[in-house]
Amino acid sequence: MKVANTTVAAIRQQPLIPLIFAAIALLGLLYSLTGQIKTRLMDERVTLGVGAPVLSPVFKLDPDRRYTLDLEQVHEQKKYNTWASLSVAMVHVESEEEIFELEDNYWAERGIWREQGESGTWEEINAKTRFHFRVAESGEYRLEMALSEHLSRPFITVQARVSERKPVKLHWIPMLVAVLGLLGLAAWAAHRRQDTMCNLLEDLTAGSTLQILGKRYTVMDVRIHEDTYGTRPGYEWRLRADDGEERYLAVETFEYYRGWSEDEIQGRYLMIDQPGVRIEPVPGKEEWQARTIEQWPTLYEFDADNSGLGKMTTLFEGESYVSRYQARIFRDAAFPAPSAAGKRIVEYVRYIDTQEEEWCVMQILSWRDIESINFYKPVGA
Amino acid sequence: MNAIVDKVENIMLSWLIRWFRSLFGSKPQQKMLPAPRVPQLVSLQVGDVVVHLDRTYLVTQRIVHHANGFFWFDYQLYDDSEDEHLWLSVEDDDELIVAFYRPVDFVLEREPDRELMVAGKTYRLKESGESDAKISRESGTETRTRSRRWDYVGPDKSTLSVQCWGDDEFEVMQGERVRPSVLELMPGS
Repeated sequence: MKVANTTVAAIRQQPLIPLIFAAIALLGLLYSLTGQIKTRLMDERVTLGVGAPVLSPVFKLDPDRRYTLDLEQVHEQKKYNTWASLSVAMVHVESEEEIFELEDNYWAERGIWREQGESGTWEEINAKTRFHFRVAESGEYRLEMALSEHLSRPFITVQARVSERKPVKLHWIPMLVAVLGLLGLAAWAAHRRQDTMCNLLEDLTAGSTLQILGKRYTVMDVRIHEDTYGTRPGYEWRLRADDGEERYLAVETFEYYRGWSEDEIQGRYLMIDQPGVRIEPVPGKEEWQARTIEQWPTLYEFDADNSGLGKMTTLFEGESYVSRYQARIFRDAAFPAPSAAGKRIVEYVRYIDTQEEEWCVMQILSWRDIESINFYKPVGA
Repeated sequence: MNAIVDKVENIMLSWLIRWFRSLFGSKPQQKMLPAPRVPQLVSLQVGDVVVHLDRTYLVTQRIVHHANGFFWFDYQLYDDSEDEHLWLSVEDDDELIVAFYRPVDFVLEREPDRELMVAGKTYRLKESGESDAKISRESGTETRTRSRRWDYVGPDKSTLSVQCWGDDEFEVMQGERVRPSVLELMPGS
């Protein structure tokens, strides 16, 4: 029984899942940022003196908004060593009820300091007030502003502003963290799709079908490789196309150098064999002992790091069949990275039990080259 | 790290699937009965029937040979009407190579030479090798063992096969190629 699935499409679209959530979080972020938008309700410059308070224009306030009152002394010509005590009240116009009253002292002082033979000037100014508030009931309000006391300044000029913000329950910081985190997750998922495809292929069994580079193949049998140079087992699938062509698909672990690092790291390689490619040993030594071989027009060098003894377990009809072998790997220049689709490596294998040998040119595939997979599952499995 | 990412993605994926299912609903899947087994030359089982030129054979033994990841098959056939045992060899090497092998009266007590004279014909060694094998019998028993094999070619492309089981148990058989299409295969009851 063949079970069709959309796993390849799922891998293709894997980064879209966190991206969708990132888009939702971005909308949440934009919504939360609306809570930061201020609308100015009143902006007046008034001159205050002791005695009769100055009334501001009327403005409308609602209980579901947050408001900020900003007061700032305006100096047409800054005068020092003065101070004034400011009194501001918020009044409900209709009921004449005072909602709140605040007082603040504004001063501007300067002088000269002297200490142990050193001296300098100092200056201290307090001329700003900020006050956040909400109101309990909707209606029209105004400010009553006056000077209650003063030193040397019977009048001061103040810029008074009232601005409103709509409160938003969603805070923008966690939303920003969520957007950045999910974008990172999407990038990570996109980056590791090659590994995801390799992991997925490990479940391929005989009878499963794949479409690789436009051609449909059926898995004939599965071989598991345990090498001395790989920490994870490698997998090899004997494939047969509808026209009878046999190919070998493999997932193997090799060591390679990253461009910026001096340490070798292990990578999972998705590869397919290149049938009918001739290997020519460079004269001088026996073919299998050669340090250099030629697959025209490329010369391949022996790679000791990825060569060694191995054990191949072939699974067939529920039974395991084991073959031991010696593998020699040949590479073109530096060992290619797992993402270097199209690059080739050459494998020589000598089976220890039968003394038979084979050469194989393997080409690195990208996860995109596996276009579809139909896993075979026996009925009842 | 990968495991955590996988887990987060799986949770998100299952959440999305549940959401889409709740939107569009999922239809119950039809259960299908398993298709009847159609025996093939590489998948004959003990008890299956092989018909060739009006003779009907019962598969009484199946041997799966393996070397270097490759498999080939020998089936012991029994013709009840003639009380005859013979072997059907099937090798899937780009094309199906199928042959009947019948035992010949030739005693070997050591490894065969590169040339053998059997029933007046000279056979030359073509290839030899060692394989491990799984033997399935009518009794239901199964055995894993190793065997060695020497394949010879004689005049008129006739073939001869020598198999050695254990240390010194040699079997010599003459082969006759047969086209796969002339064989009719039926599943056992």
